[in-house]
Amino acid sequence: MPVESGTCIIETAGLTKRYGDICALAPLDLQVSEGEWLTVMGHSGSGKSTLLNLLGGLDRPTAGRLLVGGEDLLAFSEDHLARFRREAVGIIFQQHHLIPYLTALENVMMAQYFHSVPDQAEARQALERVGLGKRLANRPGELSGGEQQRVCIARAIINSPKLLLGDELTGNLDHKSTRLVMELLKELHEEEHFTLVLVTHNQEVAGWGGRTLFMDDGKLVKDLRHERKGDDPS
Amino acid sequence: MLLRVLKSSLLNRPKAIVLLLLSITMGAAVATAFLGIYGEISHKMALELRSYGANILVEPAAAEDGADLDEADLKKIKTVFWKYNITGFAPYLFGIVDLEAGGKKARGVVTGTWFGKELEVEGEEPSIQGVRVIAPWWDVAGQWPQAADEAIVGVSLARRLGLKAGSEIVAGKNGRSRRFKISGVVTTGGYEEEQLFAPLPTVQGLLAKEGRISRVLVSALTVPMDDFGSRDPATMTKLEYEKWYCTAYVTSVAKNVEEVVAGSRAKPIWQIASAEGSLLKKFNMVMILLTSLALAASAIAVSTSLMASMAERQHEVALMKTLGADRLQVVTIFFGEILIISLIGGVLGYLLGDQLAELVSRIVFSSKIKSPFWLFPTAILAAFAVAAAGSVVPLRRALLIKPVQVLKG
Amino acid sequence: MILARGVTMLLVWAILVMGLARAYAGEKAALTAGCAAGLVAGTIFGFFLFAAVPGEIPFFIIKSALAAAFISLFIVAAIVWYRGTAAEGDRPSVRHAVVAITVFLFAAGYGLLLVCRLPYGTDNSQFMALLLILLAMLGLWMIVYRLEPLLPNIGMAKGGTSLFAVSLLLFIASLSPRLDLFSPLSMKVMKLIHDFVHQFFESMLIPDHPFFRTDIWNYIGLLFSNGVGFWGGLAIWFIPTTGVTLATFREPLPSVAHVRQAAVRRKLIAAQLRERRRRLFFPLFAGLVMAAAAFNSSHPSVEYWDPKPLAVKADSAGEIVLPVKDGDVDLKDGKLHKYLYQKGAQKVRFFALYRSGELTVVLDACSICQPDGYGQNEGTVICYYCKTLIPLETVGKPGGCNPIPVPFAVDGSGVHLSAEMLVNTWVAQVQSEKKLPGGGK
Repeated sequence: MPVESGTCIIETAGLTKRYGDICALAPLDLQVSEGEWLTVMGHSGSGKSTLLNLLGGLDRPTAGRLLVGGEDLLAFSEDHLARFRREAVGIIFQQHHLIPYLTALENVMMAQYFHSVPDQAEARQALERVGLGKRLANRPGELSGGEQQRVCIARAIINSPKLLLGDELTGNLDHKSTRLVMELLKELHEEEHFTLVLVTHNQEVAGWGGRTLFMDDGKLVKDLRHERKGDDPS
Repeated sequence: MLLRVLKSSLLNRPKAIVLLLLSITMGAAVATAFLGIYGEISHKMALELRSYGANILVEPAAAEDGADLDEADLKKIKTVFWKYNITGFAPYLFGIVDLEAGGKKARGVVTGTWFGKELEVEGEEPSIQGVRVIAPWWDVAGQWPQAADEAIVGVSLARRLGLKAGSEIVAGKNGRSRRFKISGVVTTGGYEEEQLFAPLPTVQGLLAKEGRISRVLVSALTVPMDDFGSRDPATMTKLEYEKWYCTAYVTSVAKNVEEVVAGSRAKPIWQIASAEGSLLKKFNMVMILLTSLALAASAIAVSTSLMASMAERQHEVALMKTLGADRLQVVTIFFGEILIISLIGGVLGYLLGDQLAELVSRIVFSSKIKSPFWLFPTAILAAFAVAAAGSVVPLRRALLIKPVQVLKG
Repeated sequence: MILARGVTMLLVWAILVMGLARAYAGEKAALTAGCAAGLVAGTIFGFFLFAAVPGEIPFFIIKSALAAAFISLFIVAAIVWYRGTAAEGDRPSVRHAVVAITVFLFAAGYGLLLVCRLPYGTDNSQFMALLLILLAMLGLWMIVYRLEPLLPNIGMAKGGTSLFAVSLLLFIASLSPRLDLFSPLSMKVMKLIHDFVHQFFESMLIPDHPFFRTDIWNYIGLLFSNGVGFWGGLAIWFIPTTGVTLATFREPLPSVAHVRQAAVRRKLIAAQLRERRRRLFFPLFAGLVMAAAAFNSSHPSVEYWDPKPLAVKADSAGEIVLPVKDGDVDLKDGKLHKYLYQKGAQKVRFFALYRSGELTVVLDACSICQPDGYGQNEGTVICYYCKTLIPLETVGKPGGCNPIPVPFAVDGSGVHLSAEMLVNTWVAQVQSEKKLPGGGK
């Protein structure tokens, strides 16, 4: 059971993002504790992905305060943000976004390379951990959707991030693969103690987390803490 | 890891790589070919213009017709102050005569000269002097005259009179006449093609001008003319005059020659002296312009094909940025790729350009060239330059990619 | 040319001081004092050496010192190879003195070479030396106290400092054919290999059999080719820099096994790798400088070959004898050898040159120009005054801008000249026609 009353890893105050006249994210105040599993739900265009991009340092807010792990992302330069991304954040997207000409192993090692130095043994272990020990030398084109997503997960956790972000990470997967991926995430979450923020519009996925934010039109509508699905044997 | 990424990237995207390689190879090849030809040709031109062409004309100072110089003064040319800079000279004696050959008659110029005379001057080493030394580009079909009654004939005069090697011609003046055996037909590219050339003593006999000559052409090694050299010696101070006199300007060498040939005026043949400089300069300009144009063109080609592949790969760049690659890391990967390709392109371009240069010089200049060693690094550098210049814009574009926009959906 | 020399010298000095400032950051006082003292001491010693010892000996001494420095690099490389390059903990009490003495030695070497690069025998060489030293001091102060904080933070590999400084000194030496170490090194290598092959023959180790012969002869031919000396010399030339570079490169990183989290461990390794890569800078830079020195040495035509005149004296019979072969000096090497004979206030410069298969001796002046002297380039000598190129074959013949020939005799003991004749010819032919203001440069 993750510690929910731990220190704050994400802290925002009046966090706003505008694209021209369109307000993608209304001023948002949010605290997320270390080790929490947070799900953000909403329709397309509700601002949930914008929030995720801001948290991951991929985009800069228009106004407000954004502290991740006690550091103010607004003060960071472009390269400093890049360093923040490779050291503190792991991001998983809906589409798998692997580099097509590299093998599964090399794709994972790429993240190590940007972070510090590649370590093949460690990358192999990470892939074995997500159940891909036999597909190390395969290129993304030779892997199924679920397998590709698991490579992405291995890549995202390889640098031991404090924060793991997932944007509709099961969007392209069938029911069975979704379940496999979610179980994997749960397992990793318990072992690695990272904070997990998932953006989805899949009710089932939301059930795996302990807290769900509902967003609409850039505003936070509801902040709900609830039972976690994976906890009961089903 | 970098090498692994580069290897995979290069081996798995053959189409884009081949395109890029092609543009870089072309650039390097063209640069190599141009520079190879340029180096060889300008060297040859300079050599021919500078060391062989006569650049001083010695004529009688007196203006009236029929004035001439003394043949005996010729030897003194080898004893002047600048004797070591005088690489050769040839005397000429002109006369207008009636020519008759094979029934055809014409008035024409007969010229007596030295073809390749062994000259002995006391206190100096013997040397060969004559037209063969100062005009080595004369192209004789047949033989140079050996005996006193042999002559060579200019190609256009030969055509008019229907002469060829082995025919005979009779030249007559004031009742005296002389029969010459044509040993060869000469092509010179100049006014000489209208003349008949015979050994000097024979022509002196024919024209009744024993021991006399009309002019001397001198070929001298000189230093290029500068502002100081072209000043009028009369206005110089003693110190300046001394410096002028002991600098091998064409004017000072001419003055030197003039002093030993009695009753003469020696003047530089500016056409050659200045043509040499300006011709080489123009040739330089054209070659540099062509080379840089070719390089610029292939840089643009590189840029275009990189732009295209960058559009294909923007997902990749966005992904790398998402994974936390900073600008340096992104640039390292893409520039590394380009560097490897340009290295290969440079080597290929050198090999290709070398062949091209040889082909061009064989077809156009009908001469064989030996490509200098420095062409290889130059080709590699040209390839690097082309690649670097062509990748600036695509790389900037890559750095401006925003992952959020590209990876959306 | 003098100006270009001065600028080159100052540039090298600036690079030297910059490197030392990086190597001994935080030792400003010791660094400045050591450099300044070394420069002055080296220069003064250089002047003293040239004044006190005649002929080729000062060059020999300086060259030997350089060679010793070069050989010591091998020792440095060996030590580094076995002990690793990582900087050790410092003992501050000793450090000031060590830094001061080290930089003193380097700066003194520089000062000595500075003297060699100054034009010889002219009255203003002391003045020029003073000017250069003042400029160098100014640069030293500027670099150490103003520029130093702006320099990138590069760790110095152990042994990197001496590698760096000595390579710069060797570079300066390579600019002057008389001090150059690389050419003699190549020659030595060539000789060694030739001798070795000879010995091999004498002990009949190569079977004289028709089947073997052609093949083996081909290989032997390879050993006798001109390239052997050059490439062999080059290999030796680069051993110290390569050694230190490789030692730095293969040096084991501190263990990080105690760090449990993989990502943190990798970060530590990356930082260590970065630091080690920075330490490679100085050895690699030294390698580049050595390469430049070797290049200079094999392309000496960048400058005209114009050695400093050797001072010669006449014996009691008024005769000057130039030995044809004397240590490193070989009159028959095809290069011009300049000499200076002085009688009272009258100086006579002349040179000997081996060309077209025979020796010739001429004055270092022609009968028309100001006596600025001659320099040698490929196939020609050039008159510095009128810039006329004179083919080597015609040196020794009178007339034109050719150097004035003088009578001489060659026998087993060397070239014999009459001192009186030299002075008379110079006075009669060179100076009589120079009733002009100025006279020389």
